[in-house]
Amino acid sequence: MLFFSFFKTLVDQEVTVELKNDIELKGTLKSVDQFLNLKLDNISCNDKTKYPHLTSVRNIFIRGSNVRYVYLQKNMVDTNLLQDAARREAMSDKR
Amino acid sequence: MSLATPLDLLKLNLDERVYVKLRGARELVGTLQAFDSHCNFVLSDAVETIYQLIDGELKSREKSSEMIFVRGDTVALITTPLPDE
Amino acid sequence: MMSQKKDSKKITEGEADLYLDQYNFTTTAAIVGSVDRKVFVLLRDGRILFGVLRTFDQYANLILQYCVERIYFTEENKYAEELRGVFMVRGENVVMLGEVDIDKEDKPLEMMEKIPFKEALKIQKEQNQQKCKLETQKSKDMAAYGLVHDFHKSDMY
Repeated sequence: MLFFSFFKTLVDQEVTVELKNDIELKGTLKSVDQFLNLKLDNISCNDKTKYPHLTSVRNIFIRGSNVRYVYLQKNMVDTNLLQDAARREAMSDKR
Repeated sequence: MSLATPLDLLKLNLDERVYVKLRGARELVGTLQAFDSHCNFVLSDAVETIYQLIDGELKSREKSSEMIFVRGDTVALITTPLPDE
Repeated sequence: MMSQKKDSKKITEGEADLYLDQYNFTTTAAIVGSVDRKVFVLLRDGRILFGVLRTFDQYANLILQYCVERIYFTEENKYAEELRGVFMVRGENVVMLGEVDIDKEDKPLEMMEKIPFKEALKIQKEQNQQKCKLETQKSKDMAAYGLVHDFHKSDMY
């Protein structure tokens, strides 16, 4: 559940999601669930030709399984806290 | 510290540079910030190399990002980078 | 879940929060606000559906009513669409789902030429076959360099 919690701390921040078909969607992260499905508001897309109707779409739900990357800004993340959480997560998995 | 499972090795690489090979003809080098049992992870100061075949010739381009979350299902392998990387 | 929804007309995001307590899964949180509204759904096989979202579950299995399938050929500036009725979409095939602003939705289409759906289906099928062939060859060529080119026949989106 580490990354579920991690993404919850990023809610209301602007992120860029790259899908496995190379499409990039930029928007404000609105929600996340345990499958790392994401919901973005005020989206913009790097390739306007592939899905022309996206200009009339306000918010979008992306199924986590189609995500390749999520690009973030450095200042959104407390790296010390994150590394610590990763260590603790690794410990708890063992038990 | 004992290394009971493969992912325990990753714990030693936290805050260190790692090299990740991905599906989709991609590689990443970055500082490991977090990972989980699905091989999802976060890298900082990452450089992505994307390979493309153009007229039978292998070309690559690079893309940097200051912080990136990578979904585990695209990960093929993780290791430490070569000294020159 | 269905019977609960029947009585309520429109659900705002704020009200949606109230529903949250009743569910242990949070996929609901994301799309409960889109129920009974017009949405578009992109499927992994590349299909684009527009319809009214009636219900869903934690896997993002969906029921869409008054469903219209649309095909774009943006390079030729053409599109086609056909009413397909009710769809039950299995969640694993969903790439994304978005709420459509019905005041703006026709804007991109005004500049495009509408062609018969049957014709569009035929062209799309040919295009997909071509892509499949090309990508399969790419996978083989990439493998020679020790690279995994990620292509699956089911992923045409």
